[in-house]
Amino acid sequence: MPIEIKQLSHTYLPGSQLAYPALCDISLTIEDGEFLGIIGHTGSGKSTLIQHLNGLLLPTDGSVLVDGLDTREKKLRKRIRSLVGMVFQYPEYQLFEETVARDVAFGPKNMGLDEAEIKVRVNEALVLVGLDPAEFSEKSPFELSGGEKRRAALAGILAMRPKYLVLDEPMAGLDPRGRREILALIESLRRDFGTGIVMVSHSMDDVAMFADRIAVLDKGALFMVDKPETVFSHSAELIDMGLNLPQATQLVRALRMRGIAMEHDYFRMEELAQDLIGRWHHDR
Amino acid sequence: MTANITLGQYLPGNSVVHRLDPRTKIFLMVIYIAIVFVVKSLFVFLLPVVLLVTMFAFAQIPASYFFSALKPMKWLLVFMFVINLFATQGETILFQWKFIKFTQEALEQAFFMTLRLILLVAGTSILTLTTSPIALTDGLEKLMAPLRKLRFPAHELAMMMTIALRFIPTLMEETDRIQKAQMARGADFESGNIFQRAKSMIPVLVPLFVSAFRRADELAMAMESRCYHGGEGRTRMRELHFHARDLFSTVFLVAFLVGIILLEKMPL
Repeated sequence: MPIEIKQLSHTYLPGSQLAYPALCDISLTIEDGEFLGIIGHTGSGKSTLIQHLNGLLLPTDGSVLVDGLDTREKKLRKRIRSLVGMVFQYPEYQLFEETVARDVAFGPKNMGLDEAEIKVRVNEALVLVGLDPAEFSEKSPFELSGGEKRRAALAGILAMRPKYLVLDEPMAGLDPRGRREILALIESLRRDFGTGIVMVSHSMDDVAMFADRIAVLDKGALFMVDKPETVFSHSAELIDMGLNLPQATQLVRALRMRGIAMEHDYFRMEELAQDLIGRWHHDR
Repeated sequence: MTANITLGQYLPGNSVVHRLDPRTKIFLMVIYIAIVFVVKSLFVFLLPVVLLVTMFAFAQIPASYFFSALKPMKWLLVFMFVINLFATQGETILFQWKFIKFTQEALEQAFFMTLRLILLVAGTSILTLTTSPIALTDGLEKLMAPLRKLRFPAHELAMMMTIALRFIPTLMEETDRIQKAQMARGADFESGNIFQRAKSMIPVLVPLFVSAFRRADELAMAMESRCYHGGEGRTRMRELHFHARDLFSTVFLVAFLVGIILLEKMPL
């Protein structure tokens, strides 16, 4: 069953002078096992939207149903939160336990699992994120490197075995290698476990590369949600919103401006490269 | 969840009281406190009440702020009244039932002590309502400056206050974020008894302290890389200046104090 967002609106501090409408009439369904990218300028409501997916924020208007469970029902919230794993920006700042293993166990423990099950899940999660349990379990999370900390924090969420994983800028502040590792991990979660992924990102290339669909938020409203090729064909609108285009799309635009006839729009570098190589062979 | 807590009670405005030099306002508060404590007799008490109302009017503060300033004090006020009512000795017995009794003198004493406290709290709240925290620390720094000769770290103290004030909203935001992150992992801050609740705060407090130290480190580094070296020879972008209004208000309040002392000395 999917996550259904129905006519969702959210206003911060309603009724006061500081009332601020952050989201306005958003309807969106996130299918099982789908990779949904969310893009939008700073302040477009991305963070507000994803916090509705597990009931951290509640709709001012409209509703959010996770596998049919309404986030407004207080009794259901714990179940919803174990279904929807949420990785905030810079998740390493939430580490608090004395050892990595105990920190990773925090989520499963809150779910009320027994000791044996928790142990299995902690090990499994650490292996998934590429931290060898034998080496890292008993280390203090504060003595890890930046990238390791981020992966340990991620393991803390994966140990809950969420059906959906929501990530807010998961690669922010990482070096290229760290970025690749996290992206590969997200991809393998989807491939091997069928985890649905919702990823907020400022990197159009990352979103273009992996997302099945992309939701574009602008000033709290859903501008569009569609396949990457459709979204990135609206390049003028995206640029107007202060967003970027994937490098491949930018390159196609630049080539066209130089008078080179490109039949297709591309948003993935590999596909564009294939096209260009084909042309080169043809010209010879 | 923490976003709805307003910090400090500064109420931005452009009244004559807002525009007074913070040093003047601090000094005026001291005189005001003196006035409230000098007053003893029944009718003279009316004067500081009138003074308070006048100050509120000049500062253009809505009356609702008067009550919200007193709200956290309400139990203390009740307590003060009751203690004074029963603990003060007197001769004219107004009420007696078994061992519980109180006298005319006690009633007066209780009434005046409570009124004094109300005047004190409401009056001093004018200072914080009309002065931004930054102006207040600036004023304090200037007032404490002469103490520097005695090696008192006036500038450093004011800087610490400014930084602390600056970081309160940042830390609140951070708390909110960490709390949400842990809630997403199933943490529950709302149920359980007081011990369980205190324990459930550990996953929030540890990361909060870690980040507070990190921020402190970063701030120190940023200040040093901009050549901060304490108050020695430091100039300001906005100098504090006294104006005519500072003089008038000071003269007025001092005269008020002297008048009240004379009134109290005079046999009526």
